[in-house]
Amino acid sequence: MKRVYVDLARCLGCKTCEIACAVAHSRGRRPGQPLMLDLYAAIADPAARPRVRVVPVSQAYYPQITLPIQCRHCEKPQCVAACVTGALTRDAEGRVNLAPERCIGCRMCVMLCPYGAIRVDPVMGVALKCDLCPEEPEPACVSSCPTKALIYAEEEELVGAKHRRVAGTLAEAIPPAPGTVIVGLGGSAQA
Amino acid sequence: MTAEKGRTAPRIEVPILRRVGLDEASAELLQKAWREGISTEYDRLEAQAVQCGFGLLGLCCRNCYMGPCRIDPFGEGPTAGVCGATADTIVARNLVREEVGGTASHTQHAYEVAHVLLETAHGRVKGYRITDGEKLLRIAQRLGIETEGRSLEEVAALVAEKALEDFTRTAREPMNWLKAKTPRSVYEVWEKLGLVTSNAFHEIANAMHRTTMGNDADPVNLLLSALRLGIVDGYAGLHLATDLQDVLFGTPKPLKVLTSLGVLKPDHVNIAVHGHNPLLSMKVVEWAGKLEDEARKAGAAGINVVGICCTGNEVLMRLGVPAAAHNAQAELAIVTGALDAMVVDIQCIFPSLAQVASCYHTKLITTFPYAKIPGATHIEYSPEKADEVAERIVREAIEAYRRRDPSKIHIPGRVEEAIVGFSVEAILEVLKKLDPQDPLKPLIEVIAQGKVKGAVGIVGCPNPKLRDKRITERLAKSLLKRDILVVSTGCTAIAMAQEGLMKPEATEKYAGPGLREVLTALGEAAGLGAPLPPVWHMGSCVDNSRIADLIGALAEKLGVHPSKLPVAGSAPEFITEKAISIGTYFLALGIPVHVAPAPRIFGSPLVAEVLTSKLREITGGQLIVEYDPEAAAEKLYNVIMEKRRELGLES
Repeated sequence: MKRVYVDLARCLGCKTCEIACAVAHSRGRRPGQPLMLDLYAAIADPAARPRVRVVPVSQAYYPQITLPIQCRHCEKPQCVAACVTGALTRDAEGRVNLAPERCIGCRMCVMLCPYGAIRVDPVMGVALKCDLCPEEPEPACVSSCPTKALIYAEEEELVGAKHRRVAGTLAEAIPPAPGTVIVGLGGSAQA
Repeated sequence: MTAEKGRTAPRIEVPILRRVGLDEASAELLQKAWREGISTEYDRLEAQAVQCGFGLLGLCCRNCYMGPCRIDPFGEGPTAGVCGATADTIVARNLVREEVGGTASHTQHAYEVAHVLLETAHGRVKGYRITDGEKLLRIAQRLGIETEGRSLEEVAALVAEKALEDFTRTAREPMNWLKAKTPRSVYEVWEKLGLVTSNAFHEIANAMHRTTMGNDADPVNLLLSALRLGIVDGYAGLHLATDLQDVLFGTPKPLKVLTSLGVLKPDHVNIAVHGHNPLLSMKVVEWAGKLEDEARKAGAAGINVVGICCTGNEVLMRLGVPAAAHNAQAELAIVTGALDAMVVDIQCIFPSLAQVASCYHTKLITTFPYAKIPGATHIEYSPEKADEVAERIVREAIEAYRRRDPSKIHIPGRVEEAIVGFSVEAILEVLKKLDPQDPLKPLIEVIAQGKVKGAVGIVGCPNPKLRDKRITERLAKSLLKRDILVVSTGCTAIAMAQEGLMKPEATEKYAGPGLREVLTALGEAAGLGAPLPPVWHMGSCVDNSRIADLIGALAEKLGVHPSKLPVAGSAPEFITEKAISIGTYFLALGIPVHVAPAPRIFGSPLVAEVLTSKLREITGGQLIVEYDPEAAAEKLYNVIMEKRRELGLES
């Protein structure tokens, strides 16, 4: 299952993901249309609220370190365990889904989520959480991020990319043992 | 922080991490604000986090409707806007537009003062008069106006016309003020670079034009425009305003004054003047004096006018009106519950003041047609109606006094003394006691001997973003310890006065041995019976012109370019676009300028490199960005020592 990951070094804290999330979940959202075309309808919609929050990690204004926080779609979701009405469920793929019509706004999930990724919509009176934008080609936060700090990927892809990066760094740092043959596209070379 | 005894404050969520460094009076009043459920700039700052990274880097362009466009500083996203503008172009354009905001503010301020001088000279405006005739004649002389056989009014009219010419000239001739006041060595550099300007308003309009979509995309050319705006700010803004305000209201002389929020009086009608233009604040002080009896009839012991921000500095320097607060304390002045009216003119007036005032009996009065605030009472000022408006304002304050709620009053106990009023004229007056013929000589001598290593002007505005670190005060103390004289203006000066840095005792406490010796000798010569303070209050933000005048006089006297002098500037917590344009003026003069927070230029490696390094070979100026006060002091000290070495001074 694809999840939203964050490259901390890239997050500038611009909150574009928050705006995009709110627009994607606004009542006037027309899937398929460019997201920001629906911005003007969304700002007039009291129910348009972001499910992602950009949180300052350090107290300093400089350097500013920030982290977008949204539902992690946990393997052992405490919110699901605590949801007595069955509004919150975990599907076969691992998505934690909310059925708003079953939600009574009891806030047990708000209490238990270790990330503060769930809150109750003050207008609708039901829980508000990331649904990974099923109507959009990919989550709006990810597609809107101007620095590509948000990554929508399978865990394997992310880990694989990290392995490749780490391998590249190590290849430069560790001198090859004498006699090692390095085979490249242009042929081979003796170290 | 002192909590009131015997009272349990209700639990409010107070993120105090950033506030532990605040001065005692501010901290005390912030506690009161929280208890009373009032939001202040610190709460709103908290709510603003996370601030936009593109904005901080200058990488967001909103100049046309193909955008807004943003450049990804990490290089994965867009590298150009829709029109193709690169990071360098966008950053340079944004910088120019910031300069426009600052330069427009100072030039319009000066323009209005010049207009009043003209109308006063012609007798068409009755509320003002020529107070410093000598200064008027000196200015006339510099402008090449024949004064022989002319009345002061006639000279004033000619001077005012020369001033207004700098806003209306169509010919490509240099601005009068620029020609009259720029040191020769600087003028030559500017002429070569094409920086000599002829019309302030034209330069501002041109800068707006050149930064629109599809115009100037050359970052270097844009930076030259930025320098030109800085120069316009300097002469058609700062110098013009200071010179003509001195003529109308008097040139400051040393005065002993009181500062801090504690200057509010529980038994008086308290009126705060806040903003920048002395045209109104001077009148309010005058009318407060005339209506004392009315205040007593209302049950008060009298009327207490206090200053906030630069209009506060204007009346502080000339009349000794106590300075209650700097810009970042304006809300807190209302939170005391003891302020009956706050009258504001232009610039640096937070709209939040209306919200805070609505929680108390305080009357917030706006006065300028282009600076209104929802929720405030608007009594419109015009030069013709100055007296009528000032009288009405004072009467409103007396009325408000009757509605005070004693249970809401809390005035912090501490007040701080300060010696202020260090105009260039006043400084020369002191130096003349040492050498009547050549007053600059003793100053140059102590610098040459190394007793005083140099001087730094610490100016600008205490910024809530950095207030907890108190960069201003710590930087000043660190420089004083290294035998560097500090001069100051603006709200920064008020913050330093509140810290006790402008009283003679501060010289004993903070100045290095050489600086202490010199200030002690000067204090004796001045008949003070104590050392001069180690930080000299030179006035409001437009009075940065006084600093430039002093630098200019030293450079002319020594026959060197100002960039050779062991002096520097610093705006360690600046807030406004005006600080950007003032800073640029000093960079154009060839002065190293330290600032924090970082200007919005670091999204462009080119713009950042030009301003922080290459500029040294162009104008002699250099931008230094440093958030840590100790490190900033070290950098400024090193710059000064390098200049001393280049001058052939050993230590």
